[in-house]
Amino acid sequence: MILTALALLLSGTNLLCAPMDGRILVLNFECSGVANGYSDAIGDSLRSHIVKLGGQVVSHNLFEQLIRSRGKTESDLNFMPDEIKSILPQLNGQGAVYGQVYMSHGMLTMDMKYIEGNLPAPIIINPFVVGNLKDLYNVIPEAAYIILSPDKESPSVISVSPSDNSDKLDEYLDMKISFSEPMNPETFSLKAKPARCGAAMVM
Amino acid sequence: MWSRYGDVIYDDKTHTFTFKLHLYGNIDYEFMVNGGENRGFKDISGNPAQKYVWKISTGSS
Repeated sequence: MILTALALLLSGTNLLCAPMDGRILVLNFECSGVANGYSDAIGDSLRSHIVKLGGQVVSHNLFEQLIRSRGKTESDLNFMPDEIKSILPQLNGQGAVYGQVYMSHGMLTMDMKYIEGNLPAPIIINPFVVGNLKDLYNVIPEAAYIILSPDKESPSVISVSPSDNSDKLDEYLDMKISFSEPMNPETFSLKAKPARCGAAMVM
Repeated sequence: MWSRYGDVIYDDKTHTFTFKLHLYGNIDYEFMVNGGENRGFKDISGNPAQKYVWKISTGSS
């Protein structure tokens, strides 16, 4: 879904497909390395692009007042999703975006996470990896679009090979499992159960 | 009763995992994606895949 959103954006298609209804809290990301000091500017740019795309954002001034009253800093909250969730109702916010911008292997990386009150864990958005600050500003419109359409859909298996109920198969098999959307390859985990002995194992 | 060998290959264009299995002859097997406590497969946003079950049978060895 995220890749589809990116493809739509890059193809120049009108983006206002299904913007999120509720207001979004966008924190100023925790910035380090060459991005140190750009936290406010990156946050402002992201909020501005979300509004341009038809989204609604929580007043950042209101958010800052609230966290000050709680004795917290915005920098702290970028690492405290439960704290963010707890303040969303007071700000009449549906969800929040937070994260970090940092240097890794000579590249500037922007990690974004999205959280809502009823989500057990944040949705981790694929990081943007760019060469420099200018390039980072160039991807912020894409980031804004992704924020407006966070992926909450569970992927499903669309085909397997050998197919269901195949019989008289060879003992050595090439097996394929195809999913409906991009998967994290490191999460491969398949359960197999020989029907006659019932011992299930994960491979 | 079975083993996986070789690497698991993931094709990000077709969202397909490919791998090799060694099964025993004349056995019915049930495979399961994310059933029960097995919640491994996730998309790039961290959403777990829906449960999927299928069966295959091997011939006489």
